[in-house]
Amino acid sequence: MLTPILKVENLSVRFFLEEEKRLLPALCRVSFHINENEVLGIIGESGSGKSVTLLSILGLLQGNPGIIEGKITFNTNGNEINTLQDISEYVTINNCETNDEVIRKNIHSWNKLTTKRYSKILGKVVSMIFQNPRLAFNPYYSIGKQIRESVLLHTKENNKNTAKETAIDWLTRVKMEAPALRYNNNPYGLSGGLCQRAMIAMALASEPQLLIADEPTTGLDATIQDEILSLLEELKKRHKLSMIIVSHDFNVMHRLANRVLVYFNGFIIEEGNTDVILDHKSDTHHPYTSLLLNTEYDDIRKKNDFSENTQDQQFENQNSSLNTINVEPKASFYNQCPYYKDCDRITSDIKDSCATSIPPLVSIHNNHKIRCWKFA
Amino acid sequence: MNNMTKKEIYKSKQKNTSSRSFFEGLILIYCVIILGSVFVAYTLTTFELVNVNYEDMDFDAILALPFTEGHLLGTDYLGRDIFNRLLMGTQAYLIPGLMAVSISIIFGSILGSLTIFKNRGIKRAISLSTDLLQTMPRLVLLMLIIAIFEADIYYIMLVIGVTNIPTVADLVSRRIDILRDKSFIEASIANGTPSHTLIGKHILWYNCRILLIGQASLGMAEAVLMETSLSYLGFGVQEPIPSWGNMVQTGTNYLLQGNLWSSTIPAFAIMLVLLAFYLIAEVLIKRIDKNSS
Repeated sequence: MLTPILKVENLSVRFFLEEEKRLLPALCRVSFHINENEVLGIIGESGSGKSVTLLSILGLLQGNPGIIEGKITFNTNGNEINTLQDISEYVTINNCETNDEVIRKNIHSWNKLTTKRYSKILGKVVSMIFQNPRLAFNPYYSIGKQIRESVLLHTKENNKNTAKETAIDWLTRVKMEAPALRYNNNPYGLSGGLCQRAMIAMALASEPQLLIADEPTTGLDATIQDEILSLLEELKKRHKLSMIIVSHDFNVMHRLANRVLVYFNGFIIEEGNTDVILDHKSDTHHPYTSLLLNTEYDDIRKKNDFSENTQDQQFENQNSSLNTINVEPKASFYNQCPYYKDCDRITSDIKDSCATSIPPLVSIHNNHKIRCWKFA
Repeated sequence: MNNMTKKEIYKSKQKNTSSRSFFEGLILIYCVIILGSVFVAYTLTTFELVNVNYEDMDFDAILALPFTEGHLLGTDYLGRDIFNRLLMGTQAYLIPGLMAVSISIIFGSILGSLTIFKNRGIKRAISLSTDLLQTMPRLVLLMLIIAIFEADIYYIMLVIGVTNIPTVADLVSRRIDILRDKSFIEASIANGTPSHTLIGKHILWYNCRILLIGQASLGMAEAVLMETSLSYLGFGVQEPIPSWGNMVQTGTNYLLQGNLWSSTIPAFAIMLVLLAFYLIAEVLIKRIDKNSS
């Protein structure tokens, strides 16, 4: 049994709305783990909690008013660090009915504790590729020097000249043309694709055990997306990277991920190996996953031959997804489920439980888990 | 445009950029000459490298015109050499002004960079104090301070420096807001940059230095203006120690008698120095605009 690099157990995040004096759930009891040499994909619509997961793993949610519960355990060379340990001591929750401040947070000690814990983790164990690389670099500082700085900070390298050589080496490894010249370029002097390559080089230069990529191909052209994906594939093979990739693109998942999590409204609704999840001909899917797959693969849409009514219904469903932020997470998917009317196991019991309570995450086959009353 | 060949377009572009840099070069030369001569005058007078007789009265040449023998820029109503007094007058503002500027820049940038920790209290304090200072004219505040304490140039410059702190802090915190929008701060925290490197190196040095030097130049101009106007009103440097402000004041008494020079020459000197500081600030601000666009 491999020990996972990162283990997330029952992570829930709730934000506090100061004006309405109530808590907004953003993540509900999410659990997953990442083994070595494994790429985990997270897929889901915007607002489903993908980015919140990444931010809470990286400890960047610290200053915000809200509650984080659960366990995030990093395993670094045998030492286990739970970054959320004892952190709930600094938060007191009052009763919502009295119109006082609902949450009181000792932000100072909270920040102190998290920065102390994450100082050993950020950059050294985890590093991140950002969605828009040009905005994530320092605009007035050359990219090569920024990479060199990350080499000097996080590896045993102390000499500036040799660190420069390693930085240029990383730029060649991400297939930057004329790396020694590009070393002196400022970020606004690079095209989007080159900038993303530099970002990847910077993330890898600190030699992390785990790489987190937040929609690494979103702002790029189709051809450059393809180049970046093949680069990531190659790096994954050569350096035996463990990665978390967040995206809403099936192509990215298909090419990179070993396992895929499907998110919906802060829940993991389906989990399994990539070939199982992305198998659009299979019937054992959560209805939301099949909806996603239908939008991606045209052939199955034709094959299923949706009538005009169901398409209209789908359109309505998409509109209602805009309002999900104000809806309690319990009933939200029930409203949107396209198979709700034709559900073959729809007895009165299931109909009631579908409307009122959250289904459990049921293991169906090997690694494949689905959260739906149909399979419960 | 169609008639224009590529070469011509290229040439016109090149001409454009070169003319801009030519203009900037002229400004640079002007600023170096003016500020360099101020600095040289200061070092000459403080270390007494040259014997500057600013108090010696030449009774044979009272209210002499410029270019008279022995007096390059003429004399004032007591027959004192105006050129020597101009040189001596640099002592009145240079070091006190630098003190005021360094107080405002150092404390302002520290206060402003503390807003990186998302502390609302600091941000509120900055915006409140900028608003509060805008309601009160600086000169009135200075006169109040002089009335309470005493008319010492270092008190005045301390007040100018302290009242400029919120402006600098506001500039730095706005720059931090822009970087936060660009997700740079988040990214560098996520990649494990320690906060002192992030603030000192990345934010203050690489992103704010031009801004801060520009602000320092403006602050220096303001300090000179404040010192000279207070000295003109009789609250700053007192006679017989020369300041450009009190030189203008003593000269104005003889303006209507037909002696223009004893008041206009120091006034002209004030104008030249202020212009140099303002031009530096403007060139730097233009450079920021060009880079950010």
